Amino acid sequence: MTERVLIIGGSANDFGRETEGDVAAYQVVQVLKQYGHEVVVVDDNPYSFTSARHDIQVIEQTLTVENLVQIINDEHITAMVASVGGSTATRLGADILRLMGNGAPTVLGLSLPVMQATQNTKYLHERLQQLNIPTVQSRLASNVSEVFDATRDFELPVVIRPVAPMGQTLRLQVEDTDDLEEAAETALARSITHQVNIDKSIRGYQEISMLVIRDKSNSTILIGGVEDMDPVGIHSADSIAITPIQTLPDPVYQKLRAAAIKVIRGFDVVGLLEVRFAVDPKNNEYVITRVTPYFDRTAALLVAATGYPLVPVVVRLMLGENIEDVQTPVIGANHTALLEPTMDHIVIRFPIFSFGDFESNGVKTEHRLNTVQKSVGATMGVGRSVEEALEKAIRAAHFNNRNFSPTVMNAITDNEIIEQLIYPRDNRIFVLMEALRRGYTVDELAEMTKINAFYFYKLAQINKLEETVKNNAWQTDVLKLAKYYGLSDGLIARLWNAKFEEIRRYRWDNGILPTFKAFEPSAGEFEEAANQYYSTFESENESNRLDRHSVLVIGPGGFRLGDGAAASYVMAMVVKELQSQNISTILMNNNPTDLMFMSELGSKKYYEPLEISDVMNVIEIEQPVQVFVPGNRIKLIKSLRKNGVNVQVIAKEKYLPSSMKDDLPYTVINYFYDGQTIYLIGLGYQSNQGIILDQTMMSEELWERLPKPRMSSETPGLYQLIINQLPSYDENPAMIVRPMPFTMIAFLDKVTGIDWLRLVIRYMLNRQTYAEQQFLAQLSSLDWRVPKAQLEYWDADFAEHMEINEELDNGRYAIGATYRII
Amino acid sequence: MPNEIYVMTTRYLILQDGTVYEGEAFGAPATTFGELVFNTAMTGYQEIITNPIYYNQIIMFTTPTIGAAGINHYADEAIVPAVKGVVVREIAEISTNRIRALSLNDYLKRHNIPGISQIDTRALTRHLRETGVQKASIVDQPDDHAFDQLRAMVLTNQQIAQISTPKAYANPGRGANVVVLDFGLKSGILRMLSDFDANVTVLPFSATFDEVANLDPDGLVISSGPGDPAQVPETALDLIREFETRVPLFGIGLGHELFAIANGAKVSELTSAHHGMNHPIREQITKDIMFATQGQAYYVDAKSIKDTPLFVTHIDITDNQIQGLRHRDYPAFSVQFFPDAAPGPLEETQAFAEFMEMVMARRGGGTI
Amino acid sequence: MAKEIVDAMAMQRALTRITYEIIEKNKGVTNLAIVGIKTRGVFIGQRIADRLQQLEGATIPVIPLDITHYRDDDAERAGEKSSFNVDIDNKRIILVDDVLFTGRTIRAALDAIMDNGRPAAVNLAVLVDRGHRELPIRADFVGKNIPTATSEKIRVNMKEFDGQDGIEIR
Repeated sequence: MTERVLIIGGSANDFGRETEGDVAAYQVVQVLKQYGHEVVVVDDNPYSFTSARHDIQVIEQTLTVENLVQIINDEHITAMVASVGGSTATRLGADILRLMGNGAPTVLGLSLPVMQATQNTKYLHERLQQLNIPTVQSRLASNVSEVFDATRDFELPVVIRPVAPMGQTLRLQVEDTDDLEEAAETALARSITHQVNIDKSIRGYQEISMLVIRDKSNSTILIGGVEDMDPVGIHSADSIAITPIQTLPDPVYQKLRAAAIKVIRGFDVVGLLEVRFAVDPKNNEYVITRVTPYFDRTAALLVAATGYPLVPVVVRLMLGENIEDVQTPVIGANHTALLEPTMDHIVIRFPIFSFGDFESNGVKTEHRLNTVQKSVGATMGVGRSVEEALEKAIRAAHFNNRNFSPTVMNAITDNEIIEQLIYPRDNRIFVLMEALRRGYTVDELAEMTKINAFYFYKLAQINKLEETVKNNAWQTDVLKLAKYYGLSDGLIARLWNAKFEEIRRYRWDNGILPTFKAFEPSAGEFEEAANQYYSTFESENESNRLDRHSVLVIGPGGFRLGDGAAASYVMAMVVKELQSQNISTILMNNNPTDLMFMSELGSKKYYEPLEISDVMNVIEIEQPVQVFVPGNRIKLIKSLRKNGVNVQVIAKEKYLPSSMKDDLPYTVINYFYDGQTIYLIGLGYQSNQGIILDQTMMSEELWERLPKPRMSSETPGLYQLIINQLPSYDENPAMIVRPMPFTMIAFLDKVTGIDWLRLVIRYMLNRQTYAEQQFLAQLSSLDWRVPKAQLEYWDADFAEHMEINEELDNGRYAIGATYRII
Repeated sequence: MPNEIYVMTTRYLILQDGTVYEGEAFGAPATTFGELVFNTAMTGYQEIITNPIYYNQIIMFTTPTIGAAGINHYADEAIVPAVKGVVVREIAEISTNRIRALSLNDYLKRHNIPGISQIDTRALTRHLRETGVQKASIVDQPDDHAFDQLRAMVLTNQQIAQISTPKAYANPGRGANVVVLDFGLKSGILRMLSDFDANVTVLPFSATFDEVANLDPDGLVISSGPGDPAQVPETALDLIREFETRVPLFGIGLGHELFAIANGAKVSELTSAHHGMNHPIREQITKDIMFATQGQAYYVDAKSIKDTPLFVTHIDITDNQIQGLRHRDYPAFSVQFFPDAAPGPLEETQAFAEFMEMVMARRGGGTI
Repeated sequence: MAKEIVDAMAMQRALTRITYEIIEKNKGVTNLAIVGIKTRGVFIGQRIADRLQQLEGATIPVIPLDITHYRDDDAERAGEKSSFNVDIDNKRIILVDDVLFTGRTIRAALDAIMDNGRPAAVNLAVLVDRGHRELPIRADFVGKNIPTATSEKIRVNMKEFDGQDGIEIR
């Protein structure tokens, strides 16, 4: 039966909401179309790659339950997908079911209880108790004596929370009996009903995630597990995460696996479920702290790490296929999607913090990590040892950040070290390494930080390695060892007081060359159709040159403050167009949530840091005819050119021009430049709140008389001119033409209904046709898809996340945005 | 600071086909010989290393790091490990478990088992995938002498005789009376039977009919073990034939292969041995998919089942090979995989529940 | 309060074991027919038939049986006489019910079977035997023996009918 499927989008990007949902949504559409279903996407995220598709119906409306119910009725929707729009979509899915009752379309794969449990821990705890699965112990008390009763049962520490608090919510962590009475009285006094909840504290427990998938016949498999290095108390997105799980003994691992299977069955989910555990390191007892029935960063990480085609498989399960019958092109021929992925490499996800970006602009932030997410992105490092994966992940995350220089660590005092061990900050990994260097033992550190001793053992190995490298300059076997454990040419150059090029040449001269290994889910047991690789320095290389006309596209890397999702959109569009030109496209990136690495894009992929040495290693294997690089990677572009590489820059302006002090709106004139001629596209306004694109602003006179600046470069692209007010007929405008910001490109695509980057790429490749020339010549008569729309920067609540109390320049710092048709 | 990482002892892993891998020594400095097999499990290295089925074998782990949880004696599958060597990319020389008694490195040293790390195990796995099981040796020098010795080495076919208990012993409980025939028994089997409070007597693999019958068992377990089932003496097969008609019988691993042979089926050697825990296994009767630890070099030939009183209960979906059999006329069954979950997924432990239910039913009492 | 005493897994296993025992006892599955007592006995019977199909490739008929008419503890003798659309003469019948209690239901079911033909043999399979028999009836295949007080209620949940598998006591 043909379904009309509504895909509920995730709306604006935010802390913890990168492009992973968009990646999944795009692939879900792909499968649904393949099966002949009709697709309607509702989303108001201007950076969405999925809603830029032209083969589906896209409705841009604010994501409210009322709007969705209206759309369901108007569009005769028969089924919904609520697992690709983050928690927003799951919440909306549940609301729709409640509101529409029996008349609601089915939510593919998700039961109401699981959607409720995702939103509200009360529902989670109730269901888990029915399933006989441990959850955080919690009890209600209405006087001090009952608080003590509960605490005697739970043992300290406990957390006391007032029920129905007056004013702000309150969480009191009590470690000591002496503080209990006062805390109980404070909390009781703050409660309107004079009641408090006492929870057994799980601070310091180890956090583990397991991702399971299930079909309608109850077959369930474990896709993988992820272990957080940091204990409960630091938000999981801010933690360094490792897969496969390193420190759990098999019986504990299996206990969690069995519980995850029981939970997905207990909630009757057909599709995927991530189950998050907190494990008490004292006795290996666990509690389940949350369940996530949608594609999030953990799912994205595991897809990248295992090579398992999760989204295409899960959609088929949601549509009613059994895992056993699923055949997808990416799965080898001799087995089915039922094989549980097993890994022969280590993947580490490393968070990116943006404190530095704020501080360099004089904005004060709080560096201490806690239960509220502070990271704005993450990268992943892949290697055959923990050391190698960690080195590569750090390198990928901090290619350009002074705060992470090891020399800064020398200046830190012993007292500061102790303070930062107990109250970890964004740079804790370097603090931990410095503490080891200053003689703290592994056991002491494990006790102070609640981080498993295994990781200190590994950090100590890295320290020893760096020390060895430093003391043994130009020793071949030391260089070999350093490369084996993931030290970059750049770091070795620094330790040897040499230039990166010298290290590279020395390495070549001594035959110390990278070997690329495939990501595939069988750990080498079966021949797999793999096209994703990572580098290491071992004996066998599995990656050979793809073909003689390939191009290499460098991804935007981990998201930072600002336009990460838009950059991801832009580079994905670049890849899509290259692909449609039948060019073998090789991709390099290190952000598992990025759009660029979805299976629909690229012929071959490398998960690597994006320093010059890493990029050159890939270039040496693939010998691409051209390398596309996002414009903000100035250092990389320079180095590549120095190495004689044919670089094509996707021009990028990082910041919008408004500032905290200047709240005035500006007018923006947008252009397309084909390398020779500049074409006027239209006008927009922008201010601290957002951007308005308005076709109706253009008059015949403006088309005639607006300035057509002369361009100094020959790089085709999208450009803009900022002016204070219209009309501006100045032939030599004072302000310089700048590349159009990525945010604007994505928005412009949506509003005009044109994929402008496709045009850019065609001109870059010199593959434009008569049709494109015609199109450009008639831009003034182009009917925009939406004549007028407004993009609004999303309020990402920096006060909550970063403890920033100043008012910020949204255009500069905004993580996400929404848009609406005016 | 001393350059500790730099203090390495280079050793070599050599294969009978002439392949040489250079690596770093850990464990005991001994020279060792064995069949090289790879295992794709990501957890449970200690349980794997101590499983007696690895008698005569060198295990290579495809998971890149082992040792992170140290050694914990609740995870021993035998008192003395039978494995001949351990090959891996990285070993963590640490013990992070509660007891902190021993690191993996110390443990192997104590048992005089050599290991070698910093091996490109992925390359070697892909190599073994093509060549099948090979004889291999961990040596100080990969010279002609070492290769001569390796090629001349004949591995014993008397593994079971060497590893089976020489004398009967009891593992008492207050429940049903179960006899276990030891062909290279792993502790997980006894642990599971203890969970059901079975009163267990373990007999040597060479036990006679009377020795078993005198114990008046309510059920009989034919244990897993190393090596080729064709090398097992006919007396063991006779015993299976006698007792499957009398009491519930449960064969595991080698025991499964013997149960098949005793009932007229044929067992052959796999071209590429399979060791891991990620293959989907289908229970035929329910179509349920389950996972369990597998460690097998032999398989029961599906075609040979037709003329036997057996039917197939479990299939490995990756290669459609038999993973479980059952007798048509008697409460007797067997599984190729390890249902004791030590290490491995827990779902197939229900095979023990199934066996004990049969045993209790025979005792004429209620079910468990 | 309801308490789950047999979970979905164990219930599955009990059904599986009953199926194996049916094969053992009948030396194969030829000439078998299953009579399931409504409501849950039919579902259990169907599952056993499905399992036999999986293993032996043979299709075993499952005959639903409404015994309301035959209950001797039902004063009115309500309900229609049950008539089978399968010929059961000389068949080996497996009579299936969820819970075996006083035995009166089974006796009624035997009456209904005999009204419909002359089977070669009738065996009884139940998922739960909870004791308290009032008639000389014994099951040939038992999933679980569960000792109960007469005041307690046993409830068998079947996925097909109740949304999930499991046995509860309340």
